[in-house]
Amino acid sequence: MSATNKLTLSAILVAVMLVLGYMENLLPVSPVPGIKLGLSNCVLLIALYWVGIWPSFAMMVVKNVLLGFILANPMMIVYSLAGGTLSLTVMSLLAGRRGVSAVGAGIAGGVTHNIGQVAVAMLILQTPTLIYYLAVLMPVGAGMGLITGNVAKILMRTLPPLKRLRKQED
Amino acid sequence: MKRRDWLILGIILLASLALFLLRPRAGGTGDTAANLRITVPGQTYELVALNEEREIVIEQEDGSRNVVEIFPGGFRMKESNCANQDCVLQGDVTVDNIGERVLANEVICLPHRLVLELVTAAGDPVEAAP
Repeated sequence: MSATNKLTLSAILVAVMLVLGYMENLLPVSPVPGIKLGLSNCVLLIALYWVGIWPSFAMMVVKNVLLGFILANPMMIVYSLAGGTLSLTVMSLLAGRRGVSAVGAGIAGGVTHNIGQVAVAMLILQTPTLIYYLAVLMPVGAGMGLITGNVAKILMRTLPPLKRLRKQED
Repeated sequence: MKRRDWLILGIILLASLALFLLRPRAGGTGDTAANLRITVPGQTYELVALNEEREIVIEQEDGSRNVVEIFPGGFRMKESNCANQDCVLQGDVTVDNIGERVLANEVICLPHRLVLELVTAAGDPVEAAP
């Protein structure tokens, strides 16, 4: 993929993540804080496989900062950057490994996103007992990761324009 | 799903089960008197005995404002001028319902870094009713 292709694709994927993040925010809030589908995780997974690790990190940072401003919630940037960094690090270590599919990477990414957020909350609030909240958040994060991982897997097989774009380089 | 995908899922579920089993329980002193502990950054207020109906207003220097409604045996976050309103949606915390609440004895307002906890007079988390 040429540098221009990469840049364009990254920009499109960031735009998609912003829309997904905004839409997710419109969904009814669950009574349990911290639980959301994390649809942009699925875009990041695709970015990891198709564009590469470092562009994916840049996309994650840009998306979280912009979404924080769009939703007028600057505190959220701290939490989502912490979650996003940890999650993307773990996903980049797993993606492409033998025996690990996008689903496994998605599950690990969903869970570590929650872990990162709770870790920051523990630091900011000085409330160590929050760690036990992970007993609930981790299975939920795994379930959400299962969904986003499968969506990413299906999308990577079926997305026609991107497929053509990738074929050009081969 | 490939082989190691299941391994990842298994590790995660085991870890959360371990956390669930390790979660702290109160010392079993039989002390069920309900008190409210309010914590904001760098400051912990005195315990508030939950034996009457009234409202507590917590205002911080950065303009954040929370209103806690207390009533005999419990409390809830009534108002908050934060962005996400998670704390208000967390509902009542009473001695009877902490067993069913995900955050057990706590209500947390993340944007305002405010923690409300239902505790005993000794400051321990109140034990869930069996």
